[in-house]
Amino acid sequence: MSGGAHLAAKVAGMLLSIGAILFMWHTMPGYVEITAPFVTRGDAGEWVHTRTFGVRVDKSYLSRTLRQTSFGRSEERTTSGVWVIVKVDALAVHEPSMIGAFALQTEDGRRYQHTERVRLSRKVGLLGRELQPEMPVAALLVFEVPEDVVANLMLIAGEREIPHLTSEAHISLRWQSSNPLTSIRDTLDLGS
Amino acid sequence: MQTSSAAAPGTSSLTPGAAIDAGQWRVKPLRARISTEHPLRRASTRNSYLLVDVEFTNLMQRSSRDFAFVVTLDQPELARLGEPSIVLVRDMALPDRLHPRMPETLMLVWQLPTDVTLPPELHLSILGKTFKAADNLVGSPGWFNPAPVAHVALSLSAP
Repeated sequence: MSGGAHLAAKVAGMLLSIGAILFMWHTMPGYVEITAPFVTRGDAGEWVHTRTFGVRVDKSYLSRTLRQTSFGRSEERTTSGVWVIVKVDALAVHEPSMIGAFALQTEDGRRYQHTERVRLSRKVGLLGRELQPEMPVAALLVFEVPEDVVANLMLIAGEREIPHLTSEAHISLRWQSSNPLTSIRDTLDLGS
Repeated sequence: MQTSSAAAPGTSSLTPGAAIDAGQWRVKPLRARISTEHPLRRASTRNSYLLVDVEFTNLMQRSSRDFAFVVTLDQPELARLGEPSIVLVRDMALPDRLHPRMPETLMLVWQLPTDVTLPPELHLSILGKTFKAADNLVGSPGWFNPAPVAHVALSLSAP
């Protein structure tokens, strides 16, 4: 082989390697995709089982104000939007587990995480509550969202707030009427 | 309303009640005042507090409580006031995460040492972070590097 052809082959080989590296660099999935949660989808009213927990959406309610008694004092919580209260049943699969993160997701992907402005006791809420296998418990989840997103909301229940490689259930909420805004209550009492 | 003379290049001057989009948050400084009452503490005649009301709107896709760094005091003589405590005005309680596109007014509260004399006008910086689609550690998206994006001067009114 002549010297020129040898050099040309070397250059071509180098360009090919650089091209391959650039291609891999640009098509490699990012950290978020590699560690994405394992999502199980389902509908309201049916049990949705992930690897570690199961959840069933029962009913959802809308309210302008929430009332709660804490330490013997009645507290009212208002919102610039509307309160969404989701009644669910939950259980563990195989071994005791917890559901540590809840959010409502809008159609365009905005996530409204559960509120901490009302503190539900462990008998009523799900945070910090250990679930047992095959022992469903009822619970309330509370969110605040702008009024204009209420019609299309999806509940996202996951093991942890940081969802890398965890299980997540995605369940669309269902409303009784076609325009749920007509069924907003003025006040809803969450008890104590 | 006079604007802050300390405005650094590349930042804009805001008038009170005007909003600016600073990365994660739309920030609207509303008013500043001095009070003898802390919204979360029992009344005491000995202490006084500097209260600044700022409206925050979350421009991100997620609920977030990353708002504590946004408003800082500019004047060097006020540097020793330290970090403020933050109160959600709607509840008069500690704030929760703020949710996307749901504006809320937060009250920043600094306790005033007795030997501090406040200037008639308060100069504040509004900081914003920059979004990076992939950070340098693992390549996950996030908001980094807070830097001033605007300045505002609020007149201080007594209670």
